[in-house]
Amino acid sequence: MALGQLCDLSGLVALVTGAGGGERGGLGAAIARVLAQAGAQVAVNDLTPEDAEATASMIRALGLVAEAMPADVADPEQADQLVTRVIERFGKIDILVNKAEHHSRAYRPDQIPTAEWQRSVAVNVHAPFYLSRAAVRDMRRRKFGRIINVSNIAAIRASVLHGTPYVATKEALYGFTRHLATEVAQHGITVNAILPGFVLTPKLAALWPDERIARLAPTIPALRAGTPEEIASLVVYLASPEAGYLTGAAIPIDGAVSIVPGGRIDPDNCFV
Amino acid sequence: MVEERWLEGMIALVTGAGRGEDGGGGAGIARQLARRGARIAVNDISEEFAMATVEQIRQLGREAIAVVGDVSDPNDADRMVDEVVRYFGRIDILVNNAAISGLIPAVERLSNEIWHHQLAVDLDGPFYMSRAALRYMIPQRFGRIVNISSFAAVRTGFVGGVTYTTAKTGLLGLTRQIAYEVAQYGITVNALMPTGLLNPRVLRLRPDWVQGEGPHRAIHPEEELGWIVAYLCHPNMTAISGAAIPVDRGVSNGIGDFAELKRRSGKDTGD
Repeated sequence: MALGQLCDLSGLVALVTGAGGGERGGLGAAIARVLAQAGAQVAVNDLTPEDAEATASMIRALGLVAEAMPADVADPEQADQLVTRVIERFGKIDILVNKAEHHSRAYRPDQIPTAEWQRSVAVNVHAPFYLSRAAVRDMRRRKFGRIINVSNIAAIRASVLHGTPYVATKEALYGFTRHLATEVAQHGITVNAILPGFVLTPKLAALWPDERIARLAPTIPALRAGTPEEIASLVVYLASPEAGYLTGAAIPIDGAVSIVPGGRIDPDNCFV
Repeated sequence: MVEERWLEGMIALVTGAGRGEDGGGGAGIARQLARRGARIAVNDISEEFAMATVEQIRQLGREAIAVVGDVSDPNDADRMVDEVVRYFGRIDILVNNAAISGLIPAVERLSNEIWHHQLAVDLDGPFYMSRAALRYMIPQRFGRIVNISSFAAVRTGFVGGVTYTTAKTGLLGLTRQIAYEVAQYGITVNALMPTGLLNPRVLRLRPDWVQGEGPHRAIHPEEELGWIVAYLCHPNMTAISGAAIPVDRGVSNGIGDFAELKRRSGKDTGD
């Protein structure tokens, strides 16, 4: 079989959280688009209707199927309703991509505001639980499901950007991935975490000055940032029927930056 | 025989360390740290629990106080650390041991209440306590934080469900990032990942979980787990930080056995 015939997601329904922003969006928007290009019907979630619609419109402009479904996934009722909406609109849910995340700032650990910790836990850990719980109820009836949790290399390394709430919650998400994988494997459902490193999304390109992006490239063995499409391609593979025996994994996709040593903390310039 | 007291002059707060004779890892750790010379603040959720271990330590001729409170409440966490410093003048060692485990439903049947409560104690608690302790450790340029994680942090819990695995794994991230950030202040942060810990209450409920005296015998809370904690808190032990150390006699290195897990734990594996 030619490689091109693999990873056909035709007939599958995907929900991608934190996928808004369209052409100016982050990694979630790219994942939603590439899943649609692989044949999936896509529910695009983000906090605001405008953000979610931007990506849904972008996908529909390609002649593909997408619908905006705004919600705050950190709210358990809204998360449940979101999955219900996907099933009402598309008849089922096959693929859940937990991408919505809260980036805490790099506060010194004794100065982290309680609200910053709690929002990180709510978005990065509670939300994937609420959504997976709801999705698994539908997936196990049909003996098929793919849950992909977008963690970060912070799950296996320290972070220079985001501080303790982000690192602790992104690693907790990996623990959630592992445990859920063991419970649902018998029902044909796989659960994996991907750990992207530095990914140059349109959203990030707009936020960061060029010289800051340029400074990062030499720190990465691949000497460049990843593209959103490269990350999305891994999601497509994990979402495909062919990937049925790959589960409970945490896969770094980072140009080898999590392997290479170095990266000492700069004591004078490490906290906000 | 006089035991070496390398923690002489140090103040240690151990969470979830109550119940004395009937206690688990926390009580064992508190007793061991006391034997090594530290003065101990014993935390638990009730005065009765905390005092049981305090009495044991006082019988050893060592100094101990009870600090009662709920680690999952950020205000309680701040208050308890403040109490320790008000009484002893400083805090050198924090052992985040308090945690909830136990059999819970599979993910699709798990209630919000169980999920939130257990994650709050097992993951938020260590954060709130560490944050409170670091407010004293950073200015004094010395501190030792030891987080009691679990082998569930690299596999899944043998007893606990998804919340336990999630929280204990997140605790490794908490350990790594704080270790990375506070090394510059002379503070180390490490995690231990015990499995098969000898716990009198668990033993009564399920004697089949922890059996025998052979090479696979249970880990002793005071003589083994507590000794490792005391060792990591040695004033010269500055080189190990951000580590996640299995405490399991190496027996957990094998691949798993799902059928055995179901048979022995009786836990809800989503069937």
